[in-house]
Amino acid sequence: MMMSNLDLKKRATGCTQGFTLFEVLIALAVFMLAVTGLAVALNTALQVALEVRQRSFCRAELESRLAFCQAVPPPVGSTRVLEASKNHGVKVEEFLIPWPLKNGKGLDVQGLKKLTIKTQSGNQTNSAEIITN
Amino acid sequence: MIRRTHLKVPGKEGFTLLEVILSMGIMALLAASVYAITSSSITAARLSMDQQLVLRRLDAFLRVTRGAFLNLPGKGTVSLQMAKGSGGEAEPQLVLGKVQGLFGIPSLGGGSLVLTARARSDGTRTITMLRIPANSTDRELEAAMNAPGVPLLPKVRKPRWSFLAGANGDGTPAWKEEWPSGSPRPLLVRLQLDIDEIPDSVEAIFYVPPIK
Repeated sequence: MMMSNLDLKKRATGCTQGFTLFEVLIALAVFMLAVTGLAVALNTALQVALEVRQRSFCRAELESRLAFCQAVPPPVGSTRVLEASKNHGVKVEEFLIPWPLKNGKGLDVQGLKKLTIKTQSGNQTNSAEIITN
Repeated sequence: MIRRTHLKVPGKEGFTLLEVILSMGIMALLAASVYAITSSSITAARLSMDQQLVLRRLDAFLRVTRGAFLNLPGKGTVSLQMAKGSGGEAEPQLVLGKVQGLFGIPSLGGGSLVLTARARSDGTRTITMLRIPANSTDRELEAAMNAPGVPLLPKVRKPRWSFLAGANGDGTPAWKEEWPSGSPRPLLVRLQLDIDEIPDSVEAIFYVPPIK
């Protein structure tokens, strides 16, 4: 097949010269953006999974400590602290304070206390407050 | 003799060996980075899914067990017995005796609930719930104890039950490892265990309603 002079000229000049440096750089940048996006998405997913785990531990520990405080309440007016390193990775703070409450006739109801429990696992926290007698 | 002639057309020289090697090197680097990221993301996603599953099962197990303790009637009993598993290994069994209803559903009630740590071939244990019907004969009892039961929590290691009887002299809680049948009801029951997918050990304390 005969090639016209125009075809030969095109081939020799523009069409088969490969990519310019600018094109390659743009392609690399797009590729790096995609890879970075993937890495960020992966990191976020792992972070979320870790937070879910910590939140789950916080809640489970809160329920356990609520049960424990029913049987062994902390001393009134002082805080009982369990450090995370000694309490399977969950920090606990419990305190019991007198809770003044008036009944319908404006009289003080004696003997009521407020129990507050705070749990912390990593950077997730949870807390509960109950009024006991 | 044949002489080969090469016609050099301007702009059609092709790539040199160095260029090809360089571009292949860059491609290999890029492919390796993509492979590393993809494979680590798949591994991490799988680990994360496994952990989520374990957490969900742990959550469900704790809910079921808390419910079983909270629904213990006034005449209900709590005891720990060591049984021998099918492979001869010790199997701690927590027995909630004389339960009226299971999980607050009276129609399912009667008999005893047993939480047993069944040993598996891979060295882990599965905490399994068994229901022993009331007034069962010896044969029925044996059949119920050997039944498959309801597997609640798999992949458990070193499950340890302890019971709070009161306080020591210095005011610290006195946890006891043994709680034989016939003992009074403990104030609290504690379960400590290790799970493969969770780095820290797991501890749960269950409230036992006092007898009024």
